[in-house]
Amino acid sequence: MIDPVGILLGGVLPAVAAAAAMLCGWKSTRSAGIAWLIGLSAGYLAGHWALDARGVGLSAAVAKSFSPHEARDWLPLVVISAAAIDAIGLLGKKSVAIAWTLRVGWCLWLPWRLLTGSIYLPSTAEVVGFDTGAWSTLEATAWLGGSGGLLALVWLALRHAPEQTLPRLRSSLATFVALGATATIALSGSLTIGQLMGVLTAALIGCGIAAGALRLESGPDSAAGPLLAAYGGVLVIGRFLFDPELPLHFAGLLLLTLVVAVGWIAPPKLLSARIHALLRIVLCLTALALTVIPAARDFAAAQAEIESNPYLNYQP
Amino acid sequence: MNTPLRTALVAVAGSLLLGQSGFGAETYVIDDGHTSIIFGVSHMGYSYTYGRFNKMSGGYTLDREDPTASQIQLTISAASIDTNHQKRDDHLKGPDFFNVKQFPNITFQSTAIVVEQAKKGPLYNVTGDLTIHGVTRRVTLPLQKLGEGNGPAGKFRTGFHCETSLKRSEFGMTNMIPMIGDEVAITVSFEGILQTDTTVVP
Repeated sequence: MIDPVGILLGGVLPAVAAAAAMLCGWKSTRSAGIAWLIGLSAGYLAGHWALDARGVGLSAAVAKSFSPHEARDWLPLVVISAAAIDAIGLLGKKSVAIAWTLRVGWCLWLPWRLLTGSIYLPSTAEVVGFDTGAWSTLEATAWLGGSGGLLALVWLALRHAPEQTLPRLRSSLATFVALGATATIALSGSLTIGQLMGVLTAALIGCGIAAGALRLESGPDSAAGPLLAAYGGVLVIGRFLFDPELPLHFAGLLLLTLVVAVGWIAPPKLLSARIHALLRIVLCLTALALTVIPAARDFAAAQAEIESNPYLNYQP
Repeated sequence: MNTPLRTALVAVAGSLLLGQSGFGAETYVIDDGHTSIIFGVSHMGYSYTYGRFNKMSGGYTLDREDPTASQIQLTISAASIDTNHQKRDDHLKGPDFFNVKQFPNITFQSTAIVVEQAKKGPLYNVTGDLTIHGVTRRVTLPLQKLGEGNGPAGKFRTGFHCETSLKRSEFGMTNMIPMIGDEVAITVSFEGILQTDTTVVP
């Protein structure tokens, strides 16, 4: 259950940390790209670690990210590594090819890393037994390669967003999409995973407010790496480890909605600014409606099933 | 033969071959049709919700000359959790609780046994490694031997009962505490079927 302390640590704190880090990043570098990278990464890490620190302390929470126990524990390192790759891409023209090579490798590594030790990859599972649902080599190659390839395409689409075009709208839509993903996952029944998407949402709100205050003419595509790492990482975990509650088509649609909100959707010359904005808004709303509404309907049906139990509050 | 059962048999057979259980040890395979693994947990302090695990396998050796040399190994399918409510079971299987896709099995492997005579018969205080949610902790389970004898099919069986409790937070399951209680009461009752050709007459 999400309590007031959870909202403070997973909502308010990441938003404030993201805004403060973005401000510091901008003041020290005057680079909007670096400011977005620092702001979004810092916001997500602050929220993730703050939530994990409850009951064990901050140092234990941070240490857990460096000796992960569950797939979700990998997310801070995943975000940091993706931010580092984007930062390498900012070093100069020669570093662009290096950054893209790293991005492709990272995208193929991410699903494998998050699913290592699960029932899907029995060769790496510590204990295997009963009905594992393990993949064959061909299935593993298809699922891991397909997921990695899709993530790489999304990163490509995010990086090729029309820079300096509708940065505030794209920032707002990214927040809205992350909020929709949070609702979808939480309504599907996983509070833990939904909460992590909520942390990303809060970090995006903080960055959006700071970017607006600083009048930065760049959107969240500047932080494509950490954005995809947190968003895509949570979706991979939710899809595979929370099966069948988060269906494949929900996860896939939510991933594509991020591209619609932030990334490349059509050659900029083809669209006027107004049509461009309208197209993004309509597509985002449609895609989110296709995930949030069915998830809410399923949740309501499950609640109704409980309430329709004739033995509930039975009085002889 | 499924993997946990094979693992149990290999472990038991291995311990016999290595002489850890002594020459007179009897080898048993747990009869899952007469085994119950039940748990109860507080719901908001208003009531207790009870559930069970429906799939398990394992085995044990019973050394009558030197009971401390006996051994037990049990593997439970975490995904077989059943609280008589599908939506709740799906939630319990997910990352908020057991995370069964990542940690499919709950296992117990004994490391030491101390036997004492209780009113109801021999009480085996079994110390061992209990792994839940991928976290292994050393626990001591009080196994009360309830009875033994030939079953309907003529095979010799022994039966045990255990009641204990543990804190789920110690196994990394911290979500929704205290709304859903930290302390979980556990009852395990099982029978094992002797795996030798000789039928033991008690």
